[in-house]
Amino acid sequence: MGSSSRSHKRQKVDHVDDSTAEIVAEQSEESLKSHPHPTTESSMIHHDQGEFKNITRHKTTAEQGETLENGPINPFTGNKFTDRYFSILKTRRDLPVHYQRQEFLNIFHSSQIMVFVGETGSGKTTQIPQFVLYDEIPHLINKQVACTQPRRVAAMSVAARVADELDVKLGEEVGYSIRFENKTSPKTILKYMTDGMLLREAMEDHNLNKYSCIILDEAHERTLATDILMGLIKQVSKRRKDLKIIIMSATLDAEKFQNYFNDAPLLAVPGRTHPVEIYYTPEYQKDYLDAAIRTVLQIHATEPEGDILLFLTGEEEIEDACKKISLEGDELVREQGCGQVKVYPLYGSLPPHQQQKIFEPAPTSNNPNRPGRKVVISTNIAETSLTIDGIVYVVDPGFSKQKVYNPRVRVESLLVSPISKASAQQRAGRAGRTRPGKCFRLYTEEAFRKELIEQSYPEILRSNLSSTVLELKKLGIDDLVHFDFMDPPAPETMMRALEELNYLQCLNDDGDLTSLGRLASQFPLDPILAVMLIGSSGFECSEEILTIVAMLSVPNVFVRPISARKRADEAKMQFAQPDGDHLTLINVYEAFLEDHGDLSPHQWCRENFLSYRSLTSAKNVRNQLYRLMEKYDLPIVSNYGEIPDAKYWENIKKALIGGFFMQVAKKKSNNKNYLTIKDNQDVMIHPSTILSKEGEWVIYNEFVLTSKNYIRTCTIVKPEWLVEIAPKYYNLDHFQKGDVKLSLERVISKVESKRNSK
Amino acid sequence: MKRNLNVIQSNIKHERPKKKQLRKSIFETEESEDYEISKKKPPKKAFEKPAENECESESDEDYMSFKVEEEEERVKPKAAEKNSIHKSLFESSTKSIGLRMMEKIGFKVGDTLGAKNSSEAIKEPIQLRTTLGKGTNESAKYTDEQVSELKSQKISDVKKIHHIKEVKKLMKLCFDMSGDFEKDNVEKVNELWRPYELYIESVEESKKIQSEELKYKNLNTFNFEDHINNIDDTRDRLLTYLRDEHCFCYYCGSTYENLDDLEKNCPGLNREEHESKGCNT
Repeated sequence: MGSSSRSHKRQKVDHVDDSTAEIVAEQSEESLKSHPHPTTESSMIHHDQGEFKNITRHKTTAEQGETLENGPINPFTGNKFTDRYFSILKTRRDLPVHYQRQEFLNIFHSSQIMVFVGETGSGKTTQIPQFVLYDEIPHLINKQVACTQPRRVAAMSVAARVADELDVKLGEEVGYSIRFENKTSPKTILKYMTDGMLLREAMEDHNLNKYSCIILDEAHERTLATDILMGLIKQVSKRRKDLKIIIMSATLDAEKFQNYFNDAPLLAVPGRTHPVEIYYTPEYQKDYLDAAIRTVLQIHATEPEGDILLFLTGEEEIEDACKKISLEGDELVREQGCGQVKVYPLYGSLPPHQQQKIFEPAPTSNNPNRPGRKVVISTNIAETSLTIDGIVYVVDPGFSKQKVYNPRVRVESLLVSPISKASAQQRAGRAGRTRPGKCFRLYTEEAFRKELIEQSYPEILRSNLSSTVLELKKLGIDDLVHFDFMDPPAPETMMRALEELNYLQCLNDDGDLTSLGRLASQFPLDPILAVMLIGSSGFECSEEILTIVAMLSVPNVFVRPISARKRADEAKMQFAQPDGDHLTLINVYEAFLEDHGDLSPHQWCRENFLSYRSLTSAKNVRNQLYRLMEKYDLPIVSNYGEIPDAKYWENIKKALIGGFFMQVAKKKSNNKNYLTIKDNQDVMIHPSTILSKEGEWVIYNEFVLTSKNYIRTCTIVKPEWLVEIAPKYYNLDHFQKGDVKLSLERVISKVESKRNSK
Repeated sequence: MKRNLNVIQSNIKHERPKKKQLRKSIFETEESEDYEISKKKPPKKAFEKPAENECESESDEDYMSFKVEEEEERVKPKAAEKNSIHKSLFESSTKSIGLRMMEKIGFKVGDTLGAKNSSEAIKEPIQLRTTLGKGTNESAKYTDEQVSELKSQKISDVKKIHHIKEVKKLMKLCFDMSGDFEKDNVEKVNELWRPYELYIESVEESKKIQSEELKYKNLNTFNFEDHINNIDDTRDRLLTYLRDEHCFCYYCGSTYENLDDLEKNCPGLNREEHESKGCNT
């Protein structure tokens, strides 16, 4: 056991006991220390028939690379290139980045860090890593090249594409690694991965020694993980002069990246863009959805050939608009002889095969004056990370859904809010990909100039930082305050994160990692869920908590189509465990695993209004978490069927409190509403709950801020458990006067008198 | 271009009434009175070309620039919530363990985070706006002067509404007590309370109109304020009329036997005098 955690224990002996999770974590650390697991890390295997012997690493030319690419033998595998390879190679040689291969190599050779700017469609995500491979020749020095992506789907699909381009099998020379899924092998030399996964690797290997080159792609998206990686890599670059770093961005505001990386050189590939005319509405649009639909129809009825891209904020809105535009579009066909309209939705949670549909060509029309048209209705995805050919008209209502965290009330909410000027420009640019286009902004020019902020807020300024702080601690960064953030977050946000981690006992009072903190950081989960999972064996319900955590880590498993709301709600009630939504998730998961007779799991899900995709991914997540628990010697204890039913559920609830003790609401005495503990926010239980009776005290999974404040996924608990399981948090000195404090005082005196009588 | 789109717009509009049935089925769920009305509004979907090339967003105007709009207040959350959102956590009376940890590594309240204490770094948590183009900004941070200006603006708005209501009531009283309600010609009604007669006429008029929409419009169009030059002056004159001609004090709510009785027992002409001394009836 580390000295820090020993001092931490001593200090707290007469103060507060360690939480169940901390005790479990200490035991598991102890056990791992005395009986270490054999390391499974296998060394790299690579092919080398001297293909690269005439080439000097970091001195290659574009010509040399191209000669090798021309075959006939694949230098990375020794196999003969296939015909398919050559046909792809031809299209690759047409991409804008190809023409700057030499220029790229010159800068790459002369500088440790470089910034590369190229619009989507320039080929940067697929080609640059390959240019690097032919120059790095990483396998000959037992290293890999990593290319990060903010999105899981992108990491998977790009890896598949590049495997094809290099004529190798996906998962061998080219692989990917995303949360809960690793498709790499000892042969892998190019690894696409989510930025979050590279961060996880850095926690184990502070110098990222596996890699000879790291490419941070889509840096303009400024995800939380990319921002932290940039800060980290900036440090690593000083310790590892041999490490090459490329920051890739799709937007032209690369100066910020250059400045941050000590004036790193820049290479920009000119995009293939045409002029875009911009139109504004003369007045404020009250209902942007209605305005958007009408604008799309107008374009269809009157503008020359060209597809339409409409930006909306979320799944529900998009599906709604799709329906309305299809119906009204059909009407235009019938009544005015307009061409056919095909409408496609596009959002992150859409199954990949449906996402592919947006690439289908527009319907044809016999009358050239009445063109058929494709309409794509998309979230921000289509802003930078995806290119759809044929788009000539963009409709931009000026909104997107953004997550924002407020540390003062500890609420993370998804708000539909105005985009930035940079975003608006990016959206407009989408119209000029194939030929001159038009962008219709559903707001006034004055609003654009005066109200839109210049740049979108990076995620780090809008997020709860508990996970990040825990990661930074695990990355060995102790001076969090002076960490070189590209955009430093608000001090209050960091303070809240430290405070929460202290209550969770992941950090001791000196701010050092505890055994629990070290262990929790190993799980790709929110610290609350990780702590709950680690502590679960102490409540003899590890299997159940595994299920709940897995189910909370995937998109909502309940499907509720607008056309069949009532039936969906009834179906949900079959699984209901009356006093808890969390508990209900266990019932759903177990029912899913059962034998469904004649029905395929898919059909069974459809009949029960459950999402097959979410449930299968929950199963996968659960397996991964199970393995992680085994890896860290965490006991997996469960008591199903061995103890009375009531006690069984009670244990699970107690284990839930082990993580969720900071997310508690108490019913108000005078009405049906609830008040969140400590933060005193007025909330209601989300109507999707299965809770049939009103609980005085509930724990909740999330706070949803829409027109009302809702708490979603709730389970009724007893207040005695709160003060027993989380005494430090329920120290009444830190509570404001009021109903909650009074009730807790009563509860505490009851608990104490019970303890004394024993 | 602008004109072109306008024409198209009216084309679509023109076709619509015929298809009302179908439209209904499409929009069934949100069909409401409001929607009906909004549909009748003049076409708003014409696009303007920008006056100059906007791509270079040259203006560095503060997007949070302050504007007073009535709507501001309506959407505000409850007072308690507002306070907790606007109050820095560093102002809390109990010191957070998190702050103590940060202080240990050299943080002082008022600093920003980051490698250099840069002025670009944020000091306070960001808050997102939710409207665009309305000119209101829920999350804008106001200076103290702006807050007090807003407050006094709001107070005077409320007072004004209150005063107008009062004047309206007084006018009705005078109208009834003077017997003017029997007169058939507006011109014959005393100028002082003629606006009340106009108001009644407008209400009568709108009752005759069958269409919901027009009624809605008409009711909204009559504005008392437009017919009164000086609220305070009008009120005083109405009060004086009631006292002098009818020995009636509006604030006492009673008719006195004669002017002497009134002088003796009524505290005075205005509300303030009644509130400070208390009305003895």
